[in-house]
Amino acid sequence: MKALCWYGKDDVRVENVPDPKILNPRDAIVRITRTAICGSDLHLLDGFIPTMESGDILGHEFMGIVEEVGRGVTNLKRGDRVVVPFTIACGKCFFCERELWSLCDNSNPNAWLAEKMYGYSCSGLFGYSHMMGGYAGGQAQYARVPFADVGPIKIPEGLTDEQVLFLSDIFPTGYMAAENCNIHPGDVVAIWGAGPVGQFAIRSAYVLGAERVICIDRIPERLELARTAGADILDYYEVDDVIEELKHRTGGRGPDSCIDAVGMEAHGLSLGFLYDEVKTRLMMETDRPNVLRQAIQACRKGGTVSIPGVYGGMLDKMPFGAAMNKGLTFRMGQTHMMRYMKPLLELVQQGRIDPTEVITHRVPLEDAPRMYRVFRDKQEECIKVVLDPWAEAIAA
Amino acid sequence: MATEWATRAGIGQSEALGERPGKLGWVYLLGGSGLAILGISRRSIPGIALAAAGGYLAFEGIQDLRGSEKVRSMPLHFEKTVTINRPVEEVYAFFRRLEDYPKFMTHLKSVEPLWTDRYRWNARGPFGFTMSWEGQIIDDLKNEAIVWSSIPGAGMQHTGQVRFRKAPGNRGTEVTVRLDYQPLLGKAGSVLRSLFGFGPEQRLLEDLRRAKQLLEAGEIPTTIGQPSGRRGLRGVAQQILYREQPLERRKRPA
Repeated sequence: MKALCWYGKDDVRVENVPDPKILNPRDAIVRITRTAICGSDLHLLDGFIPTMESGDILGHEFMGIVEEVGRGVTNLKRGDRVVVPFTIACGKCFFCERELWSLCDNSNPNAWLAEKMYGYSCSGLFGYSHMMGGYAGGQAQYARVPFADVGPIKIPEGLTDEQVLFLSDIFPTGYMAAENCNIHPGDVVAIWGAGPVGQFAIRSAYVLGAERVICIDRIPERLELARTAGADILDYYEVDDVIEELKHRTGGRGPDSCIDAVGMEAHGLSLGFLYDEVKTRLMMETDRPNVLRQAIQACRKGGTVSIPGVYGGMLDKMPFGAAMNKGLTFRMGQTHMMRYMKPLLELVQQGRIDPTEVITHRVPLEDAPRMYRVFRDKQEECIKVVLDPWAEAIAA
Repeated sequence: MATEWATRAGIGQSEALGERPGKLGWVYLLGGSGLAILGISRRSIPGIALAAAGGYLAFEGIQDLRGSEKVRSMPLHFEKTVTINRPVEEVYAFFRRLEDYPKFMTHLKSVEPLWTDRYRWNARGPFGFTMSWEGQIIDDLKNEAIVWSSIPGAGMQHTGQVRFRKAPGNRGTEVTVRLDYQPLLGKAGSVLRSLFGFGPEQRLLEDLRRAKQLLEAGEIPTTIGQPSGRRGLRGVAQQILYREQPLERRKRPA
């Protein structure tokens, strides 16, 4: 089959690889109909993520038709259309039982590796580093889905693939980010990052009852998309001081909660960003938390900082004095996917949120290497790229 | 407590200290030199590692021939605890079936029941040899503890204890496994193992992790056998680094 494989920094290629097989009784094989490139895939392209191996198949946002099930899977059969969550969970451990699905004890074959870095291992992920399990990913024509009786959800008739594809990652991620803000009536939510996760966070925040959402970014088409979702937009290239501007727009109070939908590869114009940029290039810092610093500084006293943005290692220079004295609540984590997929499917069916709004590019899998760069460099007004693993390549 | 059980099993202190100076020295020296030459001739990253290990073995062999303290086997013990989200009775019953241990202890080829409470253990030794010894369950307290020990005079001196305790709240069962044994190649063996793969402590932790996965999820998560792009030399070296290649014969769990 064809698959998008990682070969190092800035080196991803579509190659012919063997088809996946059932390896464990609770596996299923899915023939992938649509898949997407995620912002966190760009960390892989940029070489930020340790424990990758040459030849790894990437991709963790995918859906398709069930081809084959292992003897331990009874809730799915060949021919079912399913969306597969990017986290893998066994369903039977302490964490799964408490719906903390992305913290599953039993889905990381390389748990020892994660323990070296984090003390304890989280769940395995598709198409990511070997510390996160090293599972072959879904930017391919087929995928093997472990614990298929827990993860994938069946999609009813009447919905297109594009309408449901983002239930695999970014929609639940944006929703959990908004839910973690503990939104009360009258609350103003500030969201850094108008990428796809930020877009879903905006829409979810309104569904959850936010009074107003302010979205901070600098890319015009992304800010425009945020505006159509009802957000107040804030272009940080246009203002002197984001924190002052947020104060000004919230009657001097500050936003009640702040969402960092940017993560470890943040950009910015501040001294803080310059500091991070130098240090990461010198490999003296692993993550650039420029946005997180702003979120902490901007948040009102007693507010919540919600962090869906991915971080991997160690941060420098966090304004923890501000955080502690202002009594902030921090809520974060990889998305507990299985908690959200069915409720959000209902939101799509009811027409309350249209996930297809974020799609700007639809290309065959063969074009994925080029699209990785287009997505990363925000060219061609790119917001979200959807890949078709079975379409013929557009002639070069 | 370990020495209590050791005494009951008839392993005396001197036996535990493994007095066989010089006997294995030649084996270490010749074997180690051979490995080193093999490793150098391979001209690859795994080859360098092999050469280094061979060189170390040869060094230990020389030490042993000189009658140095270093290679005298010293009893080693390891203890690890894991919490398994199943009731005590189920966890006890699982660990009471010693013949199923190879399902989660990958260094074991098989455990054959001989007669009541007596078993033959067959383990994968270094260089592809099978190590075999007889063991006896010497204590069995239902839902509390299982203790076994190798028969005195067997090539391998080894005791193991599994203790069970209800975890707080409804978290299931805390399982503590303690192993006392003479490492297969003396101290050199355990150091070698640390170089190439896991030290014995990490290995025990991984065994327990697999037991937990079997008891909770019903299967052991794996990526062995999944597709990938061409790994190339770099990819293979990375696989070895992250212990995904069978350098230590990582078996596909049953």
